[in-house]
Amino acid sequence: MRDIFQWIFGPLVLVVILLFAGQIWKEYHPPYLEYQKQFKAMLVQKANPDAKSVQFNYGVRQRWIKALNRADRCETCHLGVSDPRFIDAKEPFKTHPDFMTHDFGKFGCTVCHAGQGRAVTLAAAHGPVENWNDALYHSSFIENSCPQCHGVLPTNKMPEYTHGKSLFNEDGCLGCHKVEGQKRTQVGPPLNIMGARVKTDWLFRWILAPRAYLPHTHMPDYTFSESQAANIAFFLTKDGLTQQLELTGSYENGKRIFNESRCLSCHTVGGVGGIIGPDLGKVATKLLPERLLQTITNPHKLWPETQMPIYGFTDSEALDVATFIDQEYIDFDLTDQQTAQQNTLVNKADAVAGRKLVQEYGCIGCHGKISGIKDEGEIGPDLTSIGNTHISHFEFGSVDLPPKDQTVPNWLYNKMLDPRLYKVDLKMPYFSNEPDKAIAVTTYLLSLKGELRVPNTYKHPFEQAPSTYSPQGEVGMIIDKFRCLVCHKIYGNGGTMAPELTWEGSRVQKDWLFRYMKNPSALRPLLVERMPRFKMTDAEIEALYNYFHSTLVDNRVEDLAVGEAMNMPHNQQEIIQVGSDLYYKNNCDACHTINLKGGAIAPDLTDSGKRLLTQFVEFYLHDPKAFVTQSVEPVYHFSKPEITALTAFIISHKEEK
Amino acid sequence: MTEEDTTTSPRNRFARSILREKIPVSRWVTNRILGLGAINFYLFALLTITGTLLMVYYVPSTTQAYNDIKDLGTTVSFGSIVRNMHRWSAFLMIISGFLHMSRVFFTAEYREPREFNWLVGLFLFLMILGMAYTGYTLPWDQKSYWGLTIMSQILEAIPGIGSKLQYLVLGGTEVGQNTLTRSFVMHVKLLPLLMSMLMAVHFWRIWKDDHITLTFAGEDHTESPNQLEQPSVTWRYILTRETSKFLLVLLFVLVFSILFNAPLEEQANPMVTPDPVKAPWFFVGLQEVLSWGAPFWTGIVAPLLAIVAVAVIPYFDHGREGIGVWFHPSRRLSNVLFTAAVTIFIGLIIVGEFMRGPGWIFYWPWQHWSVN
Amino acid sequence: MFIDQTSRRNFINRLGWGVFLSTIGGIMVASIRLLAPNVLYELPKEFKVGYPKDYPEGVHFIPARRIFVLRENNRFRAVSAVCTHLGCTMRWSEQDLAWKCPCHGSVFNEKGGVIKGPATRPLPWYDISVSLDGQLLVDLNKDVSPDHSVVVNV
Repeated sequence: MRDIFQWIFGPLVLVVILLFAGQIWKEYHPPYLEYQKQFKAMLVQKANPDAKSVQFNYGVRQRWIKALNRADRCETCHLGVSDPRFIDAKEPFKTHPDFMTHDFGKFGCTVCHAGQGRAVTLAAAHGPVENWNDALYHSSFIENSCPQCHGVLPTNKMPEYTHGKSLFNEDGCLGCHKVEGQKRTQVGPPLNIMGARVKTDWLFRWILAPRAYLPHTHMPDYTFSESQAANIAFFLTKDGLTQQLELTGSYENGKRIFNESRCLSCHTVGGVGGIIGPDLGKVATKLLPERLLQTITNPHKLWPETQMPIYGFTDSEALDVATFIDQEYIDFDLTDQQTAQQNTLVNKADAVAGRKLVQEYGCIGCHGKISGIKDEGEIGPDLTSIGNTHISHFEFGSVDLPPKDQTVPNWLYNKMLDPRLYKVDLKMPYFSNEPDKAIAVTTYLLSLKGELRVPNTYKHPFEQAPSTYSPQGEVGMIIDKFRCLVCHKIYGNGGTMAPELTWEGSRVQKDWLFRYMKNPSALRPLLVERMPRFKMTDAEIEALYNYFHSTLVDNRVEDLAVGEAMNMPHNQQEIIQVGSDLYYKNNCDACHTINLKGGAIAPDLTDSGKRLLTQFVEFYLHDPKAFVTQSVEPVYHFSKPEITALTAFIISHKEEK
Repeated sequence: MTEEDTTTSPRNRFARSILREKIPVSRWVTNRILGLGAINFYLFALLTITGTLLMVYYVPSTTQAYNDIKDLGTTVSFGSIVRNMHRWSAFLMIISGFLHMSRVFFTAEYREPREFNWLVGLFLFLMILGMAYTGYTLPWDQKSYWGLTIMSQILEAIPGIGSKLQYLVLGGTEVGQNTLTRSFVMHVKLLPLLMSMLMAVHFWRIWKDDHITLTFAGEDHTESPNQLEQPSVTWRYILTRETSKFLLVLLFVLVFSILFNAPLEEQANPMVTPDPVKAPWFFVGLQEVLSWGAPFWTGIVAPLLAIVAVAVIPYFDHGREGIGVWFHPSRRLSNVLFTAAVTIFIGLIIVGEFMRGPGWIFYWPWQHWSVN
Repeated sequence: MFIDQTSRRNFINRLGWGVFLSTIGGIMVASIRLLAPNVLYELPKEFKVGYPKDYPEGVHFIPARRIFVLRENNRFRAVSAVCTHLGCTMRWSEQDLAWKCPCHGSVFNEKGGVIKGPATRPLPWYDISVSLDGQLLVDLNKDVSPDHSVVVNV
């Protein structure tokens, strides 16, 4: 009595035990073992000849971060991350840069790098793999994780992120995309009564290809067709001026004022000049004469948000400047025939279709006011948590990518390079296609993670909350009129192009300020003076000085003023001689100049006796980095008598430059 | 007690089988039945062992469960193979349970006096499905979460008590920690306990109902007690035979477990619904039906009707002909009907599993899913 | 011939059973191996306990880690707060200058030595150092002598 089951018993037992043995072998040969063996060999080599002291246990290494509910096993293979001896080793053993600043025991790895912390195989840990959304960030985008703890404010510690954020804001992304907690700012000028402002043919060419006129404009290219551009131009200009103004000022006089006023501090002409204002090279083809004159006289009236200051020109001065610009900055390549042709095209266009396009493309998002157009909010998707959005929400369209490239960063990066890559009929316009800008913006977008993913104890903002400083009253009006804060910073608010003015009252003398405002000249020989020559009245300067002197002061300097500094024997020749010796002994003249002799990096000290306050010099010598932490001024640790002598020497120079 | 009673009563036979070298086990083991009931039992044993091992690391918490299952796949020694075995044993058990029932049907074995055991068997099969379903919820991945969500919506469709029942099952108004805890209790405590009890009843009834009645067409199945008494096989023979079967099952499960890893989708995320959301394969047929209409009719009435129909079969079929015979000609109609029903259900599973793409849109298996 | 066949079949049969039983045994051993975790969800054995300046003179209990940090002048030391008898957490008695166990009355002196039973082993002292960021760093993996200390100029 035998059947099949009797016969297969033996073979079955054998096969089962073989499979079982295979499982045991597998258990003791995990994929990471090879790396651990390599690392141990390296350890032994480094410890040579003391090789016996090397302690190394094979097995999974885990960082369990309870507060983040993460268990990161990256160090199973990345064994050298906190061992400085492996700084030159190859991955996966290389020392982590900055391993002192971020305690791995507190942060782990994946909170910044993403990836799958619990995985112990190369593919699953790094990703992208199926069923795990967080693939390891490419190192180009890694800064997107910093703001989780370090705050969203721009800082030079996160250059990529900061660059991306400023591009995002300045290029007007917020006009079409909502980001929770960010104000929608109008980065473009209002577009009502365009007919009274720009030439119709120019507007047509501008809409068609903005970068052909201004290569670095923030206005993106919508790739409109000629008829679309004509429709839009016609819609915007149809309520134009009937009569044109004739500019009859003096060209020569206008040219002189134009140069004296340092317009090129902000504007560019022929590749020379600043980047705050638009390129003026062909501005005569753009602006109607009337508008040109108005802009020079009072730009704030036409566009309150503009960064351009009111210079305070008289009517005839303004007319001269306008005449100069209108005659000088024309486009030689543009023929009258072309402009006439374009004007005809626009005048025959369809205003209704133009209005529809302007409405649909959300122009009002950046341009604020367009007559006949209603603001219906952001037309693009909400980006508040784009960096934390699941890959399944991103459509790759006809772009066929292998799964390993189907990641959110990759999608965003390619979209930044070519906004209509995934879907042809999108409205999103073309910005820059420079890869480094795409990387920066992608980094910023990835940082928009919506809700917070780290507990409050992990917060460690790099920067203080943005300043709410805004001068009020008469001084406020003056500072606003001359748009001082476009370039200067006061109490954390303002630009970085020019020196910070927060302690200006403790630094400079009244007479010098008056002279400087009337006729600004460069302090640092290497720099071309860019401070515009405003037509400031004495009353305005007086008000500014009083404000500086009463408000923009540093108490540490002021304390010196009432204390010892005033009582020091600064006028004695012997002390000045001692200071002079110190000055040359310490090679101060390597950077500073006195009477045309010395270096060109640091401010000229020739007239410092007329410019600087004694107590400021003294305080500054005592602690050069008190105001500007990145100051290149070395810290010499002078003794008190030395400081006195040096101060005496420096302020003894009262020559005119 | 008469003489005949002592020789044929099950207890007596079992006692002798232990004591004697040769035992009269008759057709229980010697006939060419499939032994699917025993295989189900072995799978249950395997599931109990592997399940206990898994429980050592598993914490039924919405924040913890997913990580624990990940750990089983990454750092726990033999964790991956044990989890795979648990999964494949469960799948095999659904299939072998279904085959077991089919075998009983095709040999008309559910008839009197075994109609009660048919019912018990049906409940055991439903419990296998219940175990498999609750097992799916425990890893707390996307499949768990959306499976529970859909199930709770079906429950809500029951008129009158729907929302209250949903509240009880979910332990709240939405899928959350309470739901997971309830699922866990069902999976590791309530259902295994009930199953063990019903299995005991099932075995006891087999014993009481004189095992099975399977004979071969043309064979005389009115054997005398004397024939039954003939000592035919040895104790060792049975042991080897059953161990071989167990090893076969184990081998099957092992090979599947080595070749195919149990999947673990992304962690449950209420903000992202995968497209398409597919139920576990044994429920995907039901999901296909659900896509046809109102959840009350497709999700409650239709499955209940099917279950009731299967349950009442023995109470309507009073025929005596063909018991213990495979595909007896007198039962052609019922066999055809049963086969048709089974084919339709398997067809539904195939359609749901292989021919439904994003948005539950129909695709042929060779068609590429459109991404949009 | 017949006998040979039978005995060979017997041998193979027994061998089969032997292999079967050893497989079962092996699976049991593997199951026990499964029970031993390879990664731990425990607090690290090396940890920071704050800045030296935050510790006044005296004995300070760190409840989360069950150790005492001691400061005498500028010397810092760390000792276990777990009674070596049966693992209760002890309390420092300022009056007697001794650690007392609330469970079974063991008493340890300032050096961690047993004054009064039932405990028999002295308290273990742990390595303490100053980490790069200036915090005190205790390493439970390293047992040291009661005199081991780190000197910090606060």
